[in-house]
Amino acid sequence: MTMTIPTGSRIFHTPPRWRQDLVALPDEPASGVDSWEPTPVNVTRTTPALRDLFELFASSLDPVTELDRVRFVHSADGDATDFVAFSQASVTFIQLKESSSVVGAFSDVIQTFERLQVELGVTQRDLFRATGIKHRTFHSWAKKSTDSRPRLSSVGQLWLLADAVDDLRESVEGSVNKWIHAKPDRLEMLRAGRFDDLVNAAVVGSRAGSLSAARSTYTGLAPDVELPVVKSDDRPASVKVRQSARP
Amino acid sequence: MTTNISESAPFDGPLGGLPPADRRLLRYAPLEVAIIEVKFTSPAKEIAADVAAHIRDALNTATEVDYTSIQPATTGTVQVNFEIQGSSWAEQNHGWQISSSDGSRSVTLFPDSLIVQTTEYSHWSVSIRTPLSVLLQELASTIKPSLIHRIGLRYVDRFVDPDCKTVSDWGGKIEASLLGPVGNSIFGTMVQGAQQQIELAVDNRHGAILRHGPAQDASTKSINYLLDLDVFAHATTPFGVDDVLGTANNLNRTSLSLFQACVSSDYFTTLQGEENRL
Repeated sequence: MTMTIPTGSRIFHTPPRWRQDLVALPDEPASGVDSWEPTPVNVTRTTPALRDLFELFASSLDPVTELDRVRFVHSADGDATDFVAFSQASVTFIQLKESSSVVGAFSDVIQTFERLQVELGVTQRDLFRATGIKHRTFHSWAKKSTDSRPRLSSVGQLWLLADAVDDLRESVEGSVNKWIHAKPDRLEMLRAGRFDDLVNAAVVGSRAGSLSAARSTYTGLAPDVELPVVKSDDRPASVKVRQSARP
Repeated sequence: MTTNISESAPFDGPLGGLPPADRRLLRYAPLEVAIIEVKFTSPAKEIAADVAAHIRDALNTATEVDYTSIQPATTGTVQVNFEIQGSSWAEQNHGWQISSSDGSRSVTLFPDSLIVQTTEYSHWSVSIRTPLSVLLQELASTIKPSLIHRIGLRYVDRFVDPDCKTVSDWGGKIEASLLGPVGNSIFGTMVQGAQQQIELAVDNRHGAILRHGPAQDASTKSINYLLDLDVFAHATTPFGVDDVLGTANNLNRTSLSLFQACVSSDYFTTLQGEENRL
């Protein structure tokens, strides 16, 4: 079950003229204290009392003004976001609005199907063949009530495939997708629903390769970025205090 | 905030010359949420679904927490423009959010950042360090980050005491220098609320943002006190799993030292569950 959490309100106000000149945002944040970004918080996962406190402090200390850039995080199926204000206004929080739909057994099955499709890098048609799920049945699941469950026979070999993919992940080097597509007979085994044969092939292959020499990979620095040299300094910590601006 | 026994590290103490903190566990810990974020550069444009699934499985094994949900997530920037009544979008990144079954723990992954958040914090090593270590090792072997740009560790404490009916009741509990106007001899008792942000330059590579202040709690008809402590490393360094974990360790020790500097010694003893109570 997911819940829709309303996004926090914000105080939007027109900045004074002098500030409007300053908020023509540069592409990169300014250096120094003004560019410090707070660590983001997903407030939907906190208690209501704490959310209220975040909101209180944000409204006082982080008003979003025109032309401010804000950073957002949202779920792919969500229809609302909330903001982490950038640079000029201090960072406040990340809020992920949960989907308003109720998650039920049908959506579990659909999500599993789609996840497997992505992980295996195959078409829907390939997966229908592999699992024995009928095309029409699959598309009817999206319209089903969340209180009901799909009949076991209609799900075919979907769960067997999910288990097989779990085994493949443990047995193959790199992604399952690449391994499946590396040889045509593996894709054929998948389409034919011969999951045990597929897993056996992966296990046999992993044993044969287990004696290969270790490899080292140079990670190094990005070629276009210089590593800054920061000299240590024994200055004591300094303090800057910012008070909230009352209207 | 809770504490734990120190782990081995080249330097295992607070930064900036701050005093070492008492690491005994707090029986009455006011901590509500803890978050760590690591921002980095990597050649990857996205994180594949199988990588996210593999990371989820690794987290389940290492933490013994049941991470059941993997949800696609997007992050980016938007510029607010009232005149055109719209906004312009830029820099969208796609990733995943992996959550525990009860939603108390979550991991958010993007090609340029990771965030670990928990509302069930017990010990540093268990609640943050272990999942962070898993994530760093997995990312090192898959998307291979090259540079670290920021590591931030944030502890948000909400002090709740039903006996604190006014802001001034927090005197003797919260450090006097933070209470500020509450101590004013003329209007101190009239203070109803205050929100303050303090920015600390711990040293050249580390900073801290402290937000604090009292607020009404309608449910208990009392005054709560918020202590939101965000300590971070903001210098760019090469990526290394042990280096990131070492820095995170230092941030934890620094947070602890700052936390203890924000409460009175008597109240800290109370939070530890000692017999002396105010």
